[in-house]
Amino acid sequence: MAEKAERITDIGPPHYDKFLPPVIQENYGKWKYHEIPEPGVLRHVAESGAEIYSVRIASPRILTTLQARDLCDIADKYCGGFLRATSRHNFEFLVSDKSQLEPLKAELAKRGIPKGGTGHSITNIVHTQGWIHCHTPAIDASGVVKAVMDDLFEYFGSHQLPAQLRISLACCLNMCGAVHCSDIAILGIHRTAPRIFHDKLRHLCEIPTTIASCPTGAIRPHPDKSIKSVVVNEERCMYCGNCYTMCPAMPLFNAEKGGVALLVGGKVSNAKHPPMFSRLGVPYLPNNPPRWPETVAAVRKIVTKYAEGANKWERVGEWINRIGWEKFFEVCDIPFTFQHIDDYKWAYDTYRTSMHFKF
Amino acid sequence: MSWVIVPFMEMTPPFDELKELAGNIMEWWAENGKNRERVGELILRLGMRAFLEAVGLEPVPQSIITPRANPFFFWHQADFDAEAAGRTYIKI
Repeated sequence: MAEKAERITDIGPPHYDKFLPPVIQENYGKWKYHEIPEPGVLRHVAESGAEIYSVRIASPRILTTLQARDLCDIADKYCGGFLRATSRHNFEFLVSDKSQLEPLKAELAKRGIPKGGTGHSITNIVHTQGWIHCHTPAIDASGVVKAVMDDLFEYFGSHQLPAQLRISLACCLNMCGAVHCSDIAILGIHRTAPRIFHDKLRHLCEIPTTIASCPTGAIRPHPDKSIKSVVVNEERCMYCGNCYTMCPAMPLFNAEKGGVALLVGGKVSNAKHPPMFSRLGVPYLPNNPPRWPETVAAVRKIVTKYAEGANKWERVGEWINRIGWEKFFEVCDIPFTFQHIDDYKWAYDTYRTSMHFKF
Repeated sequence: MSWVIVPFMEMTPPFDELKELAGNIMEWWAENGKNRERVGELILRLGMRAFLEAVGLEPVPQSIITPRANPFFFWHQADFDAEAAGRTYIKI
């Protein structure tokens, strides 16, 4: 029986090793060390002595096709087309030929493409969809990120911070952005219960699934049997927007009351301390497009105080744990509010049971 | 374990402040507690905010080890009123 040809399917992406530069394929799994000769440039050295340079550049999460083509052109010209995107949406040119390094840097400088985001810097801010695509955002995503990063740009191409600082943005608390382990998390929050369009609801929504969608059981059928709709117990509502996902007649967005919360002190890395969750720093800042000045100023203030106060190698959360949260609120001029106090079922783990605190 | 709610209160005779607070706590508990429910359990059931507001205490950072890690926090009309009167959440 003749051998069957290998079945070709369109399931899944091609294997990534097709896109590795030859020097990585040849030294796969045999790398000795890496170093950061200058901000934005990494040098990896293999056991064989082979080396590869990665030049990291700033790029927005949402690229135009024109910009993507430009980046590919640069990659074709200087590094054989080997280009990769990092998990924080920076691009890296993988340069195997050291003589191409300086011309590449010159070309990037000429085009105004900043390099950086390595080591003790603020690298690109990862973010969610925001007003471009999502249906439940409390704030925009890319707009806020652009405003904040414009302000913090000096930290992108330099290593002047005590440690790396990761900022992320999620435009609602359902957290497709998973910002809960960031040094500074910018989080869109709703603060009011959804409005209900009683006349539209019966045409657009299934009432049982809408009721079932509420994680706190705040939705019940309208007490007036002649109105086929629901009512919301506003005291129970935690503004998550699940019901709006089920039922478009219950919009949650409120231009005036919705806004930004900042959570601080999280990290994913295992270095020195285990990973930590971000915790509530600033409970509310207004949603103020197009440049969100309050959010920008608040983030800068926290970054500045961290840069002044932290020891070398200390992440934001480690700095706060060393000085204590009460000191953090004091140095950042953040008034303590009821919102900071946890009220989840296991909240008592966060309440203080000892006299070990500072003024 | 008991929780810190007042990090410091100056003790001068006749200790009216302390007596008043203790009285307020007992009153709130007597009013709201269920049969056999102790003060700590009542606070967990109704929330720290309800308790602090009822006994007339401001939130203080010394009362917690860490702030909340979850983003599900609640807002009352009193918060919106305070914002309208000029409350901000970080001083720039």
